[in-house]
Amino acid sequence: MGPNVGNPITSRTTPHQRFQPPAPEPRPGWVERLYAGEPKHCKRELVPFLRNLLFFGLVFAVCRLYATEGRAFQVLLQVAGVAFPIHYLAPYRWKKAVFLAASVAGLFLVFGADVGAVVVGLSAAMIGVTRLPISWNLRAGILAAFTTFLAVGRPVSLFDQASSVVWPVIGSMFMFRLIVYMYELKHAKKPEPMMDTVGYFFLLPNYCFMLFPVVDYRTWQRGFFAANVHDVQRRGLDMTFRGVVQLILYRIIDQELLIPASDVAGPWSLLGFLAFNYLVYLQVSGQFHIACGMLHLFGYQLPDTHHRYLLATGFTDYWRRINIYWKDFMVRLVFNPVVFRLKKWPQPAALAAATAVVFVVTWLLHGYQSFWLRGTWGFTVPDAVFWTVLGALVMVNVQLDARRGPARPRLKPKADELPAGYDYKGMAVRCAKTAATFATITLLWSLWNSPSLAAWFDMLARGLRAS
Amino acid sequence: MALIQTTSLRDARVAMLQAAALVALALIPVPKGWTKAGRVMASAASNASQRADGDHHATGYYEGLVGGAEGPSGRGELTLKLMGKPNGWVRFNDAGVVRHLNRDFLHFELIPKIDSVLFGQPFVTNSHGMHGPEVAVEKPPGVFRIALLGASIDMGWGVKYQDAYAHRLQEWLNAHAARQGFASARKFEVLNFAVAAYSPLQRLESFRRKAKEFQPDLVVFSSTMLDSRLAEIHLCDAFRIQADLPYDFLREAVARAGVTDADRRLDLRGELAGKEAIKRKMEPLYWELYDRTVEALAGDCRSMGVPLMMVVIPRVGKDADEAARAESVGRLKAIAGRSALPIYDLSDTFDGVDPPELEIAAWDDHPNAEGHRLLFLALTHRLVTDQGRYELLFPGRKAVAESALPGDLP
Repeated sequence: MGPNVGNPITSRTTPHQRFQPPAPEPRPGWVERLYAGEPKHCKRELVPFLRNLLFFGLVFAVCRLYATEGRAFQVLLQVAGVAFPIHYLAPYRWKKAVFLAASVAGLFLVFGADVGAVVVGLSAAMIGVTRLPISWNLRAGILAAFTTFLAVGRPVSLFDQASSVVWPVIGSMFMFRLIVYMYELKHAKKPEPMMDTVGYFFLLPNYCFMLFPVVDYRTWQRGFFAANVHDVQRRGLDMTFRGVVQLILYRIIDQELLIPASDVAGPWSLLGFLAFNYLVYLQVSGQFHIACGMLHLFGYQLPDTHHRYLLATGFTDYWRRINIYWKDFMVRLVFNPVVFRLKKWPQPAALAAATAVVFVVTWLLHGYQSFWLRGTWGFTVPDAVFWTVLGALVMVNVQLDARRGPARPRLKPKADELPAGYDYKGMAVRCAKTAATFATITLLWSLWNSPSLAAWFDMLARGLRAS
Repeated sequence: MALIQTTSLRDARVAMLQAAALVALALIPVPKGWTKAGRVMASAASNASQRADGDHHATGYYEGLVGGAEGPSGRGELTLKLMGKPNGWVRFNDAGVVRHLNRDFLHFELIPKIDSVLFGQPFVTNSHGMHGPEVAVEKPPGVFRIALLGASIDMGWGVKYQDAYAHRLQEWLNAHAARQGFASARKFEVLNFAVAAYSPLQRLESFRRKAKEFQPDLVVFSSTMLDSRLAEIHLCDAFRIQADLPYDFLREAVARAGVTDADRRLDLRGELAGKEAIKRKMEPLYWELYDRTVEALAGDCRSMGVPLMMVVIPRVGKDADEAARAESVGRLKAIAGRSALPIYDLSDTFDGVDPPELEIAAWDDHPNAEGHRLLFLALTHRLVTDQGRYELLFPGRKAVAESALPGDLP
């Protein structure tokens, strides 16, 4: 017998008493929190979502009250506002489709059915070519021929039937993203999902911002629900708000503070012109922040497009902080391949050559971008001088950085160590570097925006003359 | 340097508070005396930089890209789309309502007998190319004719002619005449010779070629704050189309400015090679040219025995606010004074009214029907309190004191 023999009644429970009913299934709440097979980042929670919705509402109110951008932006903001909760609640497998549907709806709402239909048709043709079952070289060749045909054909009567708006829209969608996508295809080990491919070209905020950041395909794809959705949304809303504030500042600078170059007379007006002429770039950084911020609402976590570029302490630092997507685009497609090809060269020479190629390509691609968005290449002497000088300055900085070696991480003081005093000298040096970089960039920027070298020198002469 | 920094909850709350503060700032009205603050707030909420006829300061690479291609008359089609142009909204130059005149100083005019839609409104011209009802060249007996010389606002840009202040004035004058007992003896016709983008010189040219023929009894020369810009555009166009300059004072000014044949040379696209140089050289002379233009018009009117007067018409928005317009209005008054002309300064008509209530669209600061109603009221108000003009319109009648405006004023 066993140990329970002494008191069988109390020590043993009957089988029906031992039965524990299974814990009740949680009653379905306001929505399924996580459907089967969904990634954990997708988990839906009421409070964080409502908080983000409130944040969106406040940003929306600011945009309405300050009439941010134009109708196109306001329409897309409304589309985003409608699609945001739908996308959030939709099962994970539908989310990309919801985003794509919102994007296509945005395209048609902003530009109308005539432009929308042509854009969709041409996009389908180009995306179709990228997926043809032929060699990469052949696909790239066909695309090059097709885009050249579109570019050359623009003024031809064949294209007269299409609205003139079609070309900048198509250009904005494909001029860089197609290059990035083809580059990825060349190195991809497996075919890209169709939904990702189409979604990458049809990005909702693109239809109000023709000048659009060069979003990297793989970063965009990997960023989808790469972190908790509420954190991603919150980050996107913060970016969007930052962008809206920058656009408000841009308006005040452009309309209240910036004087025409022809009005420069004396040192103060010159300083004011140089600073504010550069600060109108806030329009670009503001638009880029909003564009990427809007993508975050749909789960795409992306890096910052600009990072405190006014505080750059050198030219490489500036190049890394301003238009980060462009820098990454150039590093991946130009700098690294050139350095790799020149790996037998001495390192300083290889770095110098790669930097030079990056700036030449940047200059050419800025003309190419101008062609698609404005219809003119826009190459000018000041333009060439600007990129040459900036390239040379970055090249010198790259060499200095390479000699210095990688920066050592700062060690935290040990617990028993007295905290170091405030580094006034270091701060002063940093301030001086920032001021010098800012001054040089503002000067270069005024050159870039000047109609000719003679006009720029004339403006400087008027500014340096004592009033 | 792929920067992906999560926004903390604390940072998000701070951003939300900042957004709420911006909302409050936009909703709380700026106190009356705070002119500078009011202007800054108006700029913060104004998309003037991207307007249809924008001529803003920033002209760099990115501003061009953000704005899209430049059209022949201002911002491009893409910009208009992005700013809010509905589908089917046709630009002035694309609407087929003007015809260009080959190598002609007038450069363009409204096509007669047009029945079209412009900026979403019916646009109808009579057989003489006026945005208004049909009139005969020969003045009928008992009719008092007012010839209006002006630009886009006066033409009725973005409103149907029945809503334009010129036509409202005609209707009211006739109604007022009936009340005053002139019903059978006196009728009024306001002939609208205004055409969008006409510079002061084109207004003078239009008077000589067209308005004179209609035997006006009063000529009203309308001025705007944009007249020097219109003068610049017109002069560059005149050089571009190689039109002869018909006035001695203009030829003399061009010569004095140092505009050379090289500046006037056309490039392969048919554009002025030295456009920027011409603009720079002529810029100091526009007000002097304005003065000479009004002087020439006053001389013409005097020789015809027709009274001439000037009115200053505002645009909508902060670009026409008191500080911005002070200099131009002062100069216009001085010009009127030198030619001994009466001038009605209506530039404060839109002060204190929210611009979105008065402009035809978010991207176009021309006044809508309500704006024209306010202009009409301001103009009528000045007419009925100005004995000289009132007696000209209604002989033998006394202008009413401001405190006792006639009851038929709307």
